[in-house]
Amino acid sequence: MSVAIRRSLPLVITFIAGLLVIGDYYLRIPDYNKLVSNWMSFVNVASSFAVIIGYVTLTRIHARRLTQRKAGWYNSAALIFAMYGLLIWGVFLSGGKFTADSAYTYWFNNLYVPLDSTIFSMLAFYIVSSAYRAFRARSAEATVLLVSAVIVMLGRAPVGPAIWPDIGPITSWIMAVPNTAGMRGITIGVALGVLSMGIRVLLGRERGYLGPGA
Amino acid sequence: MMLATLYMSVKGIRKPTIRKIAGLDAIGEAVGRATEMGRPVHFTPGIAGLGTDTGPQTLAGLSVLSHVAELAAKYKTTLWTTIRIPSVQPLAAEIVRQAYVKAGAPEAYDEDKIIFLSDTQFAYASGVVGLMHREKVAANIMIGGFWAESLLFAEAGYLTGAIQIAGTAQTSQIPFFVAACDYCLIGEEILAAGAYLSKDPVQLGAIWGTDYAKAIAIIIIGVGLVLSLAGNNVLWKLLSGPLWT
Amino acid sequence: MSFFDKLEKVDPRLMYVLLFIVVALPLVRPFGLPISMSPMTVAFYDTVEKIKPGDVAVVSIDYSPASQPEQYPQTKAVMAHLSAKGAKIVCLGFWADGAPFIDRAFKDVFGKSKDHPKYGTDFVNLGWVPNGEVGMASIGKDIQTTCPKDYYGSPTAAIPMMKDIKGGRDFKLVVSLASGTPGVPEWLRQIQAQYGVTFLTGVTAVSAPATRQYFPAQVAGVLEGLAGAAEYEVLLIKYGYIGTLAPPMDSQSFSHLLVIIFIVLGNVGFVLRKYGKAK
Repeated sequence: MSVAIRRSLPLVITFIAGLLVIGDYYLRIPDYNKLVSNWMSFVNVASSFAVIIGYVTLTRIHARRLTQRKAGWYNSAALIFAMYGLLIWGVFLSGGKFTADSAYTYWFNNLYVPLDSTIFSMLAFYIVSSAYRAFRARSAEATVLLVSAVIVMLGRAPVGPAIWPDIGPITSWIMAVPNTAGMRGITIGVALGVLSMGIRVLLGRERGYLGPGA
Repeated sequence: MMLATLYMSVKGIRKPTIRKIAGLDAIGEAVGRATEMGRPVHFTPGIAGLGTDTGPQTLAGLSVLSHVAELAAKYKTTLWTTIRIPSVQPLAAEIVRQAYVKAGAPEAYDEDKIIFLSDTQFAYASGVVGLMHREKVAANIMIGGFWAESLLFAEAGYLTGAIQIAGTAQTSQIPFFVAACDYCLIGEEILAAGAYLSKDPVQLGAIWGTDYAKAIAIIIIGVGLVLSLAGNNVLWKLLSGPLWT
Repeated sequence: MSFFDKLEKVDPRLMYVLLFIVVALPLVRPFGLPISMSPMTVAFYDTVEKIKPGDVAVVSIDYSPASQPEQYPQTKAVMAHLSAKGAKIVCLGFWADGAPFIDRAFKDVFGKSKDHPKYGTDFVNLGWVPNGEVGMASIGKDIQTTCPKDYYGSPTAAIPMMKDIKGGRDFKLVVSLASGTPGVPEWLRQIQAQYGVTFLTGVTAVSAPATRQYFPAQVAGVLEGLAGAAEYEVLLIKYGYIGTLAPPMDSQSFSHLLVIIFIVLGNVGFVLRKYGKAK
């Protein structure tokens, strides 16, 4: 395949696929809508194959660490054991049911759920140290941030209204007015930026997703 | 209108400029600091994929990665790039490799330093935090789509004494980066990063067009506000769903 | 280091230990602080109250085990309320590791899941729908093709309550319990905007400020984190719902107070040092 075709073909496919989906949003033609629906199902299936890249990469890296006995090789052994063990269990031993099978669910509930929740809970500790460092009255804006943060922290927990009943409406106002205004402004700006990038991708002007040199 | 600004920029009819973005200017300082300390740089393009509406954030992160990798190659500093989405890993690896080639140090490229850790959010987060502590990174650059793990990364970077540059368009995570990092790019500043660093006329034209689009959005908001205050909700009905009844 | 310098540079490990204590203590010995209502929770409750028997309510589990402590209580409360209103509950999820919570919630709320006599007539578990926003668009067009089998392997077309549910036009209410992406914005784009469905959401506390921007035009009500779930449980007392979140809310109260105390101490040290009163 010539270089010109190799460079142009992905762009043509992107353009056609993008137009198909955009057209589906505006047009109500049953056969066309069915085509796009099938196309999206195809995308669903094709995207799922990307997980194989992850499996191959992880296996390659950690198998090498294990065989070469690099520092922390036992962690790599645990990773490979867990990754393939649960895959084999889910596909073969549970008959493809995965978490619909009670034995597999046992590992999900008692291993995966506590581990995932624990890492997330570290955020609570980090928020304390981060807030302690960041909320200093260095300037007028920082003082406003500090005061509003304290009011919202008190207002969103039962202790706030227990100390001062009027803190609830003030908290609601802060969340409903200045917070919402700021969020909407950022969201609109980001949406326009995403729209701009989408147009560039459709027109082939943005080729970052194809890799460098495309 | 966006097409018009793209055209004018590409043809050189007008050369748009982007205002100073302190976070992007600090990237050179961050990599330089890591070089002086003899410690590595860590980069993550976020945990979003390429195929969702957060894909542009990942692309923005990858455009910054190219710049960071080139600096790291030039200064002979170790660069760790951690990836969450499997399909982004080969892309990031190729970007870093090309950057090392461009900087004249192809032999210094190590593909094992562009590491896919896990596609599970908090497994990836714990991998990154562990790597940052083990390698004692001196610069932590995070540009892309982040969710709850953002503060985990920022605090881990703080504990290792790293200079931190972060940017995301996820509105719920921006406050964490602002609080915990030295430099923070807010919202669509990360989408302008590629244009800012590369000065590519296509990207500059797109940013220029986006600014006009924002001006139009502000005008529509103003008109809608006046109409609402006058008791007329025709604009609200026009812009709200459902589109098809 | 002077006393005021120490105030400004408290060791984070001390903060972590104190935080652990103030969170753990109320769980062992609850204090029973009264729970106040947020307008978002009241709006959520009022919207579900308008549901009539037979209305189709889609409950989407869009969170991972990481957010389970905050959002699983929301899940149970929402299912209990919808069931009390006689809604036909269609449960699914766009997060692969969130979908198993549907089965757990059925067992906690209804006593059984697929073996329940009303499974398939009053509630159904369609499991994980892959590919995020594309999957959402697909279920809006044709839920039966997108989910040909339920979570337990039965054909969707054979499930009694699914016979009349084809897509977005048949949904009366969508409740997304979301902690990230795909989540609220995706639902709003693909289902709420396209089909005009009433949309409610339960989110983690950290996502609550970002979700408020859609209220009330697109999102009719929001349960904001654990506090939202606790407030909702109070409102469901009239349906005989027994809540469990009073002790965790006490923990949240005292942890917030601890953070505020540290912030104040840090600022005292900062201000006094800045104005030269520190030695």
